Amino acid sequence: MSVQISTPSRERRRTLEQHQVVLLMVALLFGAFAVGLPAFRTPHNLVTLLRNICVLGILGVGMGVVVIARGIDLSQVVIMAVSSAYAVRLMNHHGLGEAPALLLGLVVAVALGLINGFLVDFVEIPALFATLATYLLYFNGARTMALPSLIEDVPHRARHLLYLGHGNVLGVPVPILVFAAVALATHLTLTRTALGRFIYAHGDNPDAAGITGIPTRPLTMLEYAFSALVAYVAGLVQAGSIASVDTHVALGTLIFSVILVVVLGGISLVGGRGGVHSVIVGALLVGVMVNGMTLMNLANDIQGIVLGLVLLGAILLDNRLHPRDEETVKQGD
Amino acid sequence: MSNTIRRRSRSRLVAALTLAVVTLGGVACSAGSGTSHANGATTAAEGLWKAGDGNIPSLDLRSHAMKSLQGKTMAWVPVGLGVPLTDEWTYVMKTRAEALGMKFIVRDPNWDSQNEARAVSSLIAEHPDVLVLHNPDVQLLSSQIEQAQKAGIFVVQVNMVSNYKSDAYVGADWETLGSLIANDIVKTCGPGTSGKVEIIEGPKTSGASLDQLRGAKSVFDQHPEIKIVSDQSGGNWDPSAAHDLASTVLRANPDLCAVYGFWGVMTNGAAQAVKEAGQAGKIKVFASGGGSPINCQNLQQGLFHEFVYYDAPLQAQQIVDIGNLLLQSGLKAGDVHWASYTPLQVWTADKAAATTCYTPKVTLP
Repeated sequence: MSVQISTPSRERRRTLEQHQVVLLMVALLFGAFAVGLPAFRTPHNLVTLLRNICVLGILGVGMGVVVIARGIDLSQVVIMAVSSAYAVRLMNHHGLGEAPALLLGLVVAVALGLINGFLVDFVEIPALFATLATYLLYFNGARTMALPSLIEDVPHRARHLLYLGHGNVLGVPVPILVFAAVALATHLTLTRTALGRFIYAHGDNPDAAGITGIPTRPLTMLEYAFSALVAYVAGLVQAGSIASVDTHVALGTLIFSVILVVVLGGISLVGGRGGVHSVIVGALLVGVMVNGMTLMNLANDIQGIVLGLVLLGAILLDNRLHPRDEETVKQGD
Repeated sequence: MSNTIRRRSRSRLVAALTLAVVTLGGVACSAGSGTSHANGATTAAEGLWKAGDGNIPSLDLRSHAMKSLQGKTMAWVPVGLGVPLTDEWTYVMKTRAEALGMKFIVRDPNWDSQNEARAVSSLIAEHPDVLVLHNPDVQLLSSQIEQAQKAGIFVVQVNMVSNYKSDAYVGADWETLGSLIANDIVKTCGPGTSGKVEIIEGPKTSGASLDQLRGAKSVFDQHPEIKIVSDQSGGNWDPSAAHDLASTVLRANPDLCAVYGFWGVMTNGAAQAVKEAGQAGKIKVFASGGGSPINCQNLQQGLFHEFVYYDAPLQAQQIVDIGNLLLQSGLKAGDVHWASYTPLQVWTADKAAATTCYTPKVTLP
């Protein structure tokens, strides 16, 4: 029981954490691209690289919190698409001003997240199945009741929304600042507050957390609501960037990329492990690879193969450095 | 009796061959020019329609048309509803088909290719008279199109053709469109520019991507001054993928001359990346589409340099016209392979004020 806690510091120094392994891979790839591709190492390209991982990173932060708490939110990208499209539709077709429309979009996102939390903790449906069901329900329900158009173009008067995608502060694109703000706020909450400790305890051992007096049911609802809120923010950044909301994104593979960057960076699906830094290194690895391969003009299928192989390599390396055994896979120790 | 049957079969074969020769000869026909083919088809028709016999009482002509169309079913399976292009097609087809006394049904696969294949199978079992299909790629519905034709259902393909050719294709002539845009890029990115061009395709297996790329490459290959610095797919016509591709490529090539995207809605993402980089107007964005509002906005704001328009409402009208023609012709499914290419119009930024995009009407299934 206490073996993990009393691991000698010498042992700790010898092995790398998963996020450090991934960070090492980021550094290696970064170095290789910087040497081989002069266009890669330009400051402009590095800003673009960061800019292009913002939506993935923001979503990853929300998903990371849910996974740390031993959940999963497969409906996250649907919530992102539906709530941001609804906000824009309110401006386009119902004459609402930017502020009330964005507020109502936020309400929709949080409400959908709360429903997820309710289904997982009060109805006690496993998170995987609950959010898979709500993925279908939210998307098709929204199409039927509120979003007859899959694409909503952002009107010119939505200046603040467009600024979220196109603005910059002292040369730094606003999406990067939004990602940084979401990541920092979440990191501080997880590491410096009682709420953060509750979330880790919830993921580490929900029964023990409940016994010790942590209100796990409201906490679950809060976690899913947070994931939805963050998804809404990512949706607004995306909408501002391309001046439209394309809800097709919900039908694509973005949700798998989100789960990938979360798990890759060291947030274990069994809960209680990892942090915001895990998401950042996971997103960086994907971002560096995609950026480098785009500059190399590699065909999309070759990019897919390389991406798959490097990710597999990262996981294999982690397995070599951290052999799995009964102790390390156990929860609640 | 057997001579009559043989004569009819022969005259039907002659008509089918005539249509096939005209079609395969590359004659692009608009809704208007379809009339001349209809005259050819009349030689093959049974009953009222006889070769060279124009002495038909008007009432009989009307009665034949009505009988051929009234109560017949036209079924439509788009890749998915909810985007301006498919919504506009659906609205116009429904309105026009119903005005002719036909029943119009639509199945929305919601952008899921497996749903689309299932919807087509189920419709084949229901046996509509005309099946209108929007192929997501060149292979997915091939065997089902063949199956539908064998079951006696007329099949019309819209805008993205399948490997298996059915009675008719209505849509853009992608090869011409690709070469048209490529020629304009060659003119725009000539001497005094870097000649660097980025291409953002749609899905690699889509008929629209494959044929458009072939048309463009046939021009670019003859112009070594044009350098294709990037040729990648924007996923499933995804504007955010186009945004990310364009933002990366234009940072690496600040002297980029043009971005050529294969669909306006997707290319909007690339245009936003160009705007974000402060290069709007300097990097020329080329796209094409059915004329949804975002394309006009991008032209008017100078985010698109050139937009090649294929008239979506006209395409829908052409589909109904061809369905009408097939039903009145006396032909059987698979007798002919017709292509009706929509006229292309080049819209440029300087003529943006004169361009008119449609306002899409949503028709829920």
